[in-house]
Amino acid sequence: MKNPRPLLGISAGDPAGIGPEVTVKALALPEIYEICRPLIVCDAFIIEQMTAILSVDLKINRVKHPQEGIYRHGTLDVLEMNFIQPASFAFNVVSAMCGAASFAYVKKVIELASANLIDGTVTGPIHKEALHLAGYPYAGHTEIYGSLTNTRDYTMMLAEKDFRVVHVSTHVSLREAIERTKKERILSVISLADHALKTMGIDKPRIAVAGLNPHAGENGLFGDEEILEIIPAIDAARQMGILADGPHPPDTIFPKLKGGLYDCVVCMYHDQGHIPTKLLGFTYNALLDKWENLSGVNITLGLPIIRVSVDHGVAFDKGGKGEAQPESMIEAIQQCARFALNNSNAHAAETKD
Amino acid sequence: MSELQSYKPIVGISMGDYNGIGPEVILKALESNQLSRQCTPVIYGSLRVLNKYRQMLNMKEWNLQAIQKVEQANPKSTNVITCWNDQQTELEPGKITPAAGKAAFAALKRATDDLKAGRINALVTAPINKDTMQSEDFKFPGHTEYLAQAFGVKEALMFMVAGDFRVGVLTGHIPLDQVRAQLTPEKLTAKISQILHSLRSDFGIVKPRLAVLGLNPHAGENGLLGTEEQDIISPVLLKFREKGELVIGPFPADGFFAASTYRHYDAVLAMYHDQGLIPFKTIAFNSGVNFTAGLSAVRTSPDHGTAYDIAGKNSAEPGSMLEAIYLACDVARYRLDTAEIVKNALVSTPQASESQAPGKAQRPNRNS
Repeated sequence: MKNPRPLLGISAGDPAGIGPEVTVKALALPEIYEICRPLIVCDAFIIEQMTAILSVDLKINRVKHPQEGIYRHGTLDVLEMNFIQPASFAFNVVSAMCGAASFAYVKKVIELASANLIDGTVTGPIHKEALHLAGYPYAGHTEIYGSLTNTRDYTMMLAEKDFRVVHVSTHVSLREAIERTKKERILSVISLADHALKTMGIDKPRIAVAGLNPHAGENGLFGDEEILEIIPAIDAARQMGILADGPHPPDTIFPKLKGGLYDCVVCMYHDQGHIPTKLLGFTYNALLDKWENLSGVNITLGLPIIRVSVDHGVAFDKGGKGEAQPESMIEAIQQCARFALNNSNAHAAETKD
Repeated sequence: MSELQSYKPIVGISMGDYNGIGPEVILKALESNQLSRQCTPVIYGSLRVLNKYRQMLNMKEWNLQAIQKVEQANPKSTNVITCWNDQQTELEPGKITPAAGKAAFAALKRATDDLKAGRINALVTAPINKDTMQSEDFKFPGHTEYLAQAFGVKEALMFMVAGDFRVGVLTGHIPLDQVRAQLTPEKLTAKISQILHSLRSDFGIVKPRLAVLGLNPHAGENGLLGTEEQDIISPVLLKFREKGELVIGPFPADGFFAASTYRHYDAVLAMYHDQGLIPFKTIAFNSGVNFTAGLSAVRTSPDHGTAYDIAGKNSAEPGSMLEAIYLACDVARYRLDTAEIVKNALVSTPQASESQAPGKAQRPNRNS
């Protein structure tokens, strides 16, 4: 078995957004095919239209089963889905049709991965309102994956190169986030992070745990969740042999993570982790009025299958214009391939090259 | 040179916890009287402590001037007022001691008295240890709250400043689960007014643009992830816009900073401490300054803590302390400037006849 390339399912996201575009742009790069076998899950019409818009010379290979893919640079293998009626399709518009399509793509890659027919899944951006219009009341990808794989204990990791954060809670109100700051959950997120970092090839991951309150509560002066919940969780993690420490004041821990003192920070709520990660990962060049270096990715930890996602949204002001930056999709595919390769449960790995 | 440019404020600097990096960054910022053109510095602390640090930092060529009271301050040198009986004071850099807490309070109290009496034009405070400072006389979560009470202000505004990037916080040093209860239309209105006033009078911005962040992830996502945005924040912002103020939001906090939207505003109002401080420290590490708006006097401080882990090792960076002193001087000047403008204004409000006849107002342009 020489250099097995994992087979990755890529759900293209909402067809009216930039998901299909960044997918095609990423797969136009020969180096992607050196590390994996990518299979696009999308309406073939959408992908075909996108190659025309971008004027890239890539053939479309419509397949019904992952085994029928060619997986060589120059061909886009598309697992055929039929949700989009070309006559009523428009870019940059929220629609039930595109919502239903984007949900079907995600559901398909989850099914394929659960059946061991692919090694990992990469997801393009979906639009929540479109999803709701189509009758799927999920808060996002992470919740869809949790529900369809019957997983209760999962968490979202944001990664921008070596800058990684995981969340004790994500898409809930701040009030609910505070209620979810419980020892058991914190401990489970610490160990999910530890396990994921080891899978990424870090032997002894160093994990910093952030506090919930300003200055991590300053010894109970303002807030006691650190004393009652967070410190006991850290102690328990250390007893399990995990190199976790904290709680750290939330406003000073991120420069330490950026400086390389830690491999990951455990954050207590959505904005605590998202603000610094997005600040470092996304940059907007005001001079050129352009986004640059959109390379952050979103990894769901704790699932029975591998899932990595782009870190940006559908960008419903850029769909169909050919200006979207594929860095985050490229990074997501690379991370997913690395994960799949290191995962001891890898199953569909190539047996011949 | 105008009167304004030559104005040299007297800046008091309270020494903070002497076992932290406060004395070190103060000495590094003021070394060889290098700021004597900008201001007359007066350090409130202990000559004995500062001289020990001066030797530790190899600043033997430079002498500090001991004075008994601020009226004796020499504008050409670095003045020191000893605020407690320091005969027995021994340094233990990096150690948390009750004696250092008591000393820090003595220095702060003396400096605050002089600030209140107008004997110094601005106060810069070095970091304290909030635990060891607590006593019968000091029961506050930090400097800001102490000074608010000393100046008879119900609530001062903590304003973080790094160049043109300014972040205010609606709530400061309180548990996160009390933030929602404090997010009321009254408090939000008061804070926004306070920020707009500060931007005008302390920073000389005539038409300030203020961005306000949401409380919940994605600013509540139309009520899906919390309703405070719809119920409280948006209606308050609308009222300000109806009055012609450029107060925009609520913005989702993560995208707001990532997209550099903050660059289009003169200030950002965050709903809680870390929502403002995490991005501020990420963007402005080592150059950030904490400014207390809403007081009748000027007060700034560096945005770092006591940093016991590097105290006494000659490795602390004075960048933030320097910026804090510069900002104190700038704001003292702007305030004088604003006061002058108001005093010398020929017409303070537009005449009714002018506003009703726009053609008349345009005439000078056409002729020129």
